Amino acid sequence: MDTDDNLPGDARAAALLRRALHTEADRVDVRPDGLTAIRGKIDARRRRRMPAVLLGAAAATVAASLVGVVGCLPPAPQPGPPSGAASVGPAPP
Amino acid sequence: MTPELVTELGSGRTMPRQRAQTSTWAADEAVTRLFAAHYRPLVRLATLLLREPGMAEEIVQDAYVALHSRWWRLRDADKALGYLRVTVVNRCRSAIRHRRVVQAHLAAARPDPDAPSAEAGALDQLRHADVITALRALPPRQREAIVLRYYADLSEAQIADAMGVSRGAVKSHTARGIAALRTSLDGL
Repeated sequence: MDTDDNLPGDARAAALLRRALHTEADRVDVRPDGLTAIRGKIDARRRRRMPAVLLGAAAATVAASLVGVVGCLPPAPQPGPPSGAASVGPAPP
Repeated sequence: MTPELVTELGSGRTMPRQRAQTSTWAADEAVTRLFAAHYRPLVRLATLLLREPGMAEEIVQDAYVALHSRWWRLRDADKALGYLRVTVVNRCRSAIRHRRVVQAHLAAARPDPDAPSAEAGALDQLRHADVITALRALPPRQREAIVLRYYADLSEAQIADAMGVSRGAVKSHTARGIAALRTSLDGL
């Protein structure tokens, strides 16, 4: 670690700070149910996101079905010359 | 081959690096294992930054929830610890900012519940209380730099990552923090 702790005053300050911070931290009581709380929050988040996920899945399914249906349709008739009166060529004498 | 070691937050102890296994963890398993390894020191870190153990636990729990949703991108114990640390520091900073806004709107000033009394007891406790009181009076960035360095035992590079600043800024925040604490520390 890059420190200036080798300087006499800084080393003393660093030692004092470390001791004070660790003593203060050791006083903190950590609740034993932390993991249960985290799992509960994760489940709640999943439940909140479920409608959006289901909606997305439904939309994807509908889109895929439409693509499939469109793919199975016979090709549309090509626009051609109108039948009957469109004879090309010289008129009979 | 000697396994690579990583430092456990707040204790200075080293543990074998778990990169090989972590890539196969599912998000739920990752949260469980990272909880066992780092939850307590992270709560203590957040408490040192915030002064409110209840809120500190909420913030750390929310950081684990956020980690769970991003595990597919992290998949690495070191990256995960870095992510948790950054999230905790950022959320503590936001909470302090919010608390200041709320307090600014409170008409009546409240006495500091943690202020040491004249009858606080042993001299060591008074010294300790003085240091902690002085630390709490520092600007947030200076307090973060000092707590991450002297409690979490992080390197300058790690502190820079956790705070989202350059190494030069870490040096500056730490030096200014130490200078501001000097008055308290010199009298001890």
